[in-house]
Amino acid sequence: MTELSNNYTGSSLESACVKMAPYILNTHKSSKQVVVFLNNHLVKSLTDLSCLKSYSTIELEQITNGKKIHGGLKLDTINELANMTKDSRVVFVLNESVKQEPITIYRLFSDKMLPDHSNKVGFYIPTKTSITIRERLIFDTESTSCSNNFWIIDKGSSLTKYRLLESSFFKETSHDSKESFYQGENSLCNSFSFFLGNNDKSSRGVLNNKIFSELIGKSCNSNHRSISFLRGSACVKNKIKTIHHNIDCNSHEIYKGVFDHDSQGEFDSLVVVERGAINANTVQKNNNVLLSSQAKIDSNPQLEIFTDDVKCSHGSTTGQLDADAIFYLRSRGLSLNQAMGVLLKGFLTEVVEFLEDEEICKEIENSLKNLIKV
Amino acid sequence: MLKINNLHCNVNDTKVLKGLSLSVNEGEVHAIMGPNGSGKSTLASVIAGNENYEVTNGSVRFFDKDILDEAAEVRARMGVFMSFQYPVEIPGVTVSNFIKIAVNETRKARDLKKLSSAELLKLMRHNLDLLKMDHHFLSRSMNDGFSGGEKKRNEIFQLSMLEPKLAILDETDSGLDIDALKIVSSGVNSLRSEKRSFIIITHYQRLLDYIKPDHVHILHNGKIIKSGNASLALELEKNGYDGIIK
Repeated sequence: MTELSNNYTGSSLESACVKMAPYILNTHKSSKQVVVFLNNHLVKSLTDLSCLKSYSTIELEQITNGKKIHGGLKLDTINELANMTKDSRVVFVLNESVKQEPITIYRLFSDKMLPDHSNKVGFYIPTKTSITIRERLIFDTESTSCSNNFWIIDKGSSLTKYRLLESSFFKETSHDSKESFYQGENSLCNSFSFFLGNNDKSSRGVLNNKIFSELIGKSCNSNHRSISFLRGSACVKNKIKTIHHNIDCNSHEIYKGVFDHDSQGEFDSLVVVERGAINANTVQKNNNVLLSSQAKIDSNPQLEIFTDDVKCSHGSTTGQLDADAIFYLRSRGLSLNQAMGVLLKGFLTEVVEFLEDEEICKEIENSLKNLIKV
Repeated sequence: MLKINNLHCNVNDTKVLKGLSLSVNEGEVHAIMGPNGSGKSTLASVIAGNENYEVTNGSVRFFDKDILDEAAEVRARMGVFMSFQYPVEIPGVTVSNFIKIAVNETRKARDLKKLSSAELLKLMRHNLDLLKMDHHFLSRSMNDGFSGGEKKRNEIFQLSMLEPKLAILDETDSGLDIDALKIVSSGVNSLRSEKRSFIIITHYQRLLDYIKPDHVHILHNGKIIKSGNASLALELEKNGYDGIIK
């Protein structure tokens, strides 16, 4: 085990983090499963290191050359993976908790402390491991920050990941996010992203959210579900690429957007089914509701299929709330706002109903309640 | 209870109602029959407060209050209920959650205390039994994937929960098989009371075999051209509209 390098300790940093997000320490007290990054560097003093093992790049190359990854990954891809990870300083191996409690990863971004935002952070989920991650992105910066993560989900493992941005992000922050997922045989990735703004008309935060997903092993399941609910002139751009390398893989993308005022969204998604990746089952679904005539969405689902025997579907809808449905609800005694709220809640259910983490579910429902005000 | 006087209404600049007058007293059941395009559904929508319909003249008074300027929800809270000919599908909103909001909003307007979830559930189950509906119905999304019959039964179920003073049933019998028609009719009959009135819009006499009306009106070209008792519907069945519209 290589000693973690470039990690930051010290009371001044701790106090800075605490000032930035006061609830971190409180959470830390109640749960050991906390990992904290500041500008993409691990903050060791605030992290429960029992959640992690760390490997240097060189060791990861050894791992990916077949010593530790148990089947499912093609050799070419393994080499690619090794090359790719050369830039990253540390790959964290996530340990399954005995109680299978979720691990909370705080990603703090601040331009007041460390200028380096470019560090790539990798996580490896060993074979037959089940991990739930609550990833919370917290910002104390007005300049553009970035994050670049990759997740290797080994054979028979499952990752359930909830990504939440603080609603204050959308006030004035910009963030470029890239996340890559590499899945081994029989692995499962359930990823949820919630980009929920606030009711502030002056919101102007911009999130560029790139997701790259490679289904390398046989029989992988990849589910990416997301809700963007924006007001003001906030913007979320989702750029997604999913590649089916192997047989019997399923990938589902459900992206829902609600855009009010001058806010904007983008859904640019490409699913590639490579030659020989038969029995692929892919769904790309993007549904949007525009609550004002100034709100915009650019939706572009694409498919590239290089094999037979696949079941691939894609669809995109954008519109306003149905006037007949609003009248129907009002004729039952609901006010206009309540009727709109009920319809929006129903619209978003397709994502919310899949939330298994009660704490996250409550939090999302509260945030939506605040936005929808039913 | 309801007094409609000389009602004129346009839909997309087309005159649909052209001086319709109708009076409904408490506890009465009125059937409105008429050929396609005569204005039956428009009448229902105007009473319920659909803003897509432009009232150009006349008045609609409900318990002596002119309701034409009131929003649909205000009319609903006052006790007007419309059973839709084509109930809207609302995916993601369960019947029980929807009923909970609707019932408590209506009760709030009537200065009644909110019902707890347990009280509501008990009431919902009781009313579902009346309509011979499965309790699982409550956890399904509103009208989403419902058969035609289920949608109509759901409308009557909502009627039973909201306890309106005036219920307008817009072609509730359309799309129902004979067994479903009997169940829906028996549900409606069980909800009849001295204080609750019904306006039943239908094309066919068969619904009136099960729900006996006090008055039958023939609507043609935006006006009521003939009114009578239940025997008028039988006459209509025998002679068709051509025999009456001359």
